[in-house]
Parts: sequence; structure tokens; C-alpha cells
Amino acid sequence: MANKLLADIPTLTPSGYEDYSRCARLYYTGALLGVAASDYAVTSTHGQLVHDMLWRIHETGSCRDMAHVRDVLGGHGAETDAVIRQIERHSERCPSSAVEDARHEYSLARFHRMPAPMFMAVARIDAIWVHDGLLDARDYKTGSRWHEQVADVPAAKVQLYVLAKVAQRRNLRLRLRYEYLSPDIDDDPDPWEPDDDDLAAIEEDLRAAVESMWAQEQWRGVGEADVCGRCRYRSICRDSATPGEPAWPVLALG
Amino acid sequence: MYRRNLSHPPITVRSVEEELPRVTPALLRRADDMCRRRIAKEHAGGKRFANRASDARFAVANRVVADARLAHAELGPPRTEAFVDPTDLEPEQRALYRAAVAGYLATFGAEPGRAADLGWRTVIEEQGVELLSDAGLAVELPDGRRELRQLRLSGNPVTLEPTDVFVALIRTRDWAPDDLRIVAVDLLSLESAEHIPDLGRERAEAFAWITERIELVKSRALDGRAQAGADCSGCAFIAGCDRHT
Repeated sequence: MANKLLADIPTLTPSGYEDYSRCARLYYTGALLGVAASDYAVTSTHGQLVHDMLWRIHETGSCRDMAHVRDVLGGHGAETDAVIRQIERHSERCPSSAVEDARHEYSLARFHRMPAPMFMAVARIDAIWVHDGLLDARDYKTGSRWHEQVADVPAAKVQLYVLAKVAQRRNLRLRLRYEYLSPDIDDDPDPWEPDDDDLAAIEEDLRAAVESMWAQEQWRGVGEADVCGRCRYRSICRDSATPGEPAWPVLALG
Repeated sequence: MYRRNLSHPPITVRSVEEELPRVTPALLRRADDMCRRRIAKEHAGGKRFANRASDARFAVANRVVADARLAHAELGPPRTEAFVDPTDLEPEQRALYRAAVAGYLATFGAEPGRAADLGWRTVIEEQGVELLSDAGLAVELPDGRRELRQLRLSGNPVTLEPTDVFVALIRTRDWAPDDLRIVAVDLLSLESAEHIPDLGRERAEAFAWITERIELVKSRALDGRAQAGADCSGCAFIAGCDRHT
């Protein structure tokens, strides 16, 4: 019944796959039903601003040129201490001075046809640097660190799956790094440099996930308090272990 | 060709005998950067050979608008009994529906009006193209004024982008020739934005805009080169795409 909501060729995004890995009901409610979040989540406004500024700074100059950085930030009303500190933190690890090619906020797609079922993986990559025979992809993070290594992050599989096609075509090694911009976080998680076996396993994991979606009848939620308690649908989810009243302002009218 | 629905005299419905090339607000807005093959396919219309895309995410919004239209079937305040709990939907969708209805009644519950049905398409004769869009909820007020209500369910702040206004002006050309208020409301956050256009000037601008954008869509469609990226998500024309062989 419910699996008929899937498109003939389902799309896998990093966040969608991350949701599905956490809870089938979360994926169902968000990605398929498109229900607006009923509960407050950590705001991404600051993170989006920093992403946008890094993009514009690199498009028009160098992140190591502080006059340029301040010029870009000032032009967008973003010259705050918090943003400047995070840009400085990035510049310590930015490989841009030695790169042969670079892309920022770059969307990639890769189609899986066989073995069934088909799916389309799509991901927007924050930065891609090509240097020293390496396709060095970065995912900028402005929040808290949750993982010791990128290989533990489900979303990274979708990112690497789409990146691998580019790396293979250009005969480059591939590395995905989660770059934490907060000065309060000393070390990034270990980057992931998948070999051919890893990439084959990633593709199979993604394929198996889509196969399990097609087998869903009920899209049952995990119903565990530690998972549900952080979910953006915790108040309205059919299977929530932490149900409550939605935070939609209209309901505050009584 | 025109056909009048006599039960709703003010409405003009254009009947389309054959399928014309089409544009949507998304195509008009994104034609500069969008995959040209997808533009070509969507502009040509006809999805007989396409892979089916998921449309479940519109179920609640469509239900709210349909029920609000029913609630305004006769001139007067909206009849609350028209909003029926959609038991065929999932519990999460029903929660969203109930919140949206509360938002609708909080915003428009005291305002009398009668709904009109603008359909889904307007033919742009000069371009030989049909514009497909959900115009919103069209309401005729007791004093004859026209109000177009664009209902959103995101919980986010609301803006009326130029594309929203231009498309609304074109879609309401026959229904609201002399008077129009466009109001966009997010039924969850209750934030809103409104625009009362200078119809003579702004409708002329809207037609100049859409003429230019349709020309762009046509030229990109003629190019037709595929580009793998964000537009592959939800694309109904994966089969035969040379970027995904």
C-alpha cells in the first residue's frame, strides 16, 4: 500500500538516506509525505550563512586574504565574530593554494540501474578540491561532532557514491572529509578514502536500502525515546515514543 | 475557444482541445540553470513514456484547498463542516491537515466570500503555450472585489516572489480584470504577505515577463543537452538520458 508512494526511480539524498537509516517512519513522513516539521530542530540559519560565505569567498578570491574575506562578509552583512572565526578555522585547512581544480556548492547525480531496484543518488557537495592526484571533497560542519570517523555516517555513503563517478572518470583517488568549523572542536572525524571494495559495498548498501523501501508496508517507526526525542516529527508521529503537541504556532491560538 | 460555466458566471474557462507545449512557474523561474533536456521534456508535455514521480507530498495541501473551496461554495463565511477529517490519509498528514484548517479559519474564518474555480491552466495564445499552475484559492468578496489566497504549509516565513505575482496576474486575467488582492499565508506559522497590484501596469509587466521567459524556455528546450545534477531528483525522464546510460 504505502510503498506505492515511492517514485518509479526513488531519489536518495544524503539527508534522506540518513533519515531512513535512523527511522523508516521519519523518511516516510518527511521525504515521501512532505509533512512540515512539527517540532523544533536545531536551526540551520547560521550554518547556511557560513556555507554561502565560504562559497563566495572562494569564488572571488582566497580565504587566506583577510581583507578579501572581510569585504565579502561585509557585503552580505555577515561580518560577525562567529562567522569570521569559522572562516579562519577553515583557512587553516583549506588546500586552495595548491589545487588544480575546484568546485563549490556543486550538485552531482548518479543513477543506479542494475541490479534492481533502480535509484537516483543526488548530493550537493560543499567543496571539491583536486590536488596531488586526489579528489578532496569537503562537507563543512558548523554544529556538534557526532562521529569519530566519516565512515560511520550514513549520509557519507550517498556523497561518496556520487563523487566516485567523477573520481573514476578523472582517475583520481577519492577522499571525503567532514570539516568542523567551530574553534571548539579540536579534531575532525577521520576522513574516508574508500577503495574499490568499499565503493562496491556502498553501492550495495544503498541498493539494499531502496529494496527495503519497496518492501515496506507500514513504514514502522523505531519508537525509542532516545531516537524519537530528537526527531522533528516527535509530537505527531504515529509510532513516537515521545508524543506531544506540535510546535506549529497556529495551535498556540487554542 | 471559451466555455462559460453558468453556475459560476464570473468564471471564464478556456478549453484546450489539444495538448499545447507547457510552462510551469518552476520552469519559468529556473530556466536559466535547469537541465535543458528536462526543460525540453517538461515543456513538450506528455508523460506517457515517463517514469512515475511521487506526488504524495501535495496530498494535504490539495485537500485543504479543495475543502476551503467547498467551504466557500456560497457567499458567506467559510462553513466549517466542509473541513472533514481526512481519514484516508496517514496520522501525520491528518495532524497537518487539522493545523492547516485551524490556520485557515483563524485567518479567513470571519471573512465572507464565494470561491471561484480558476482551473489549472491558462493559454498564452501569442506564444502557443499553456501555463499550468495552482493559482490558489480564488474568492469573490461581497462587494465584488477579488482575492487570491495562496495557502502554504511550511511553517516558514512567507514572501511573495516576483514569479508568484506575475503568474497570479496572468492566471487571473479573465477572473479579475479590474481588481485583485493577492495574499499568501502560511497556515502553520500564520505569517503572511500581501500585494495589491496596479493591474493595468503590473499585468502588462507580467505578460512582458512571461513572453521573455517563454522564449528562454523554448531556446533551452531546443538545445536539449542533459546535465546531471540536482534536477535529476524527481526527473520523470531518466530513460534514454545520455548522462545516465
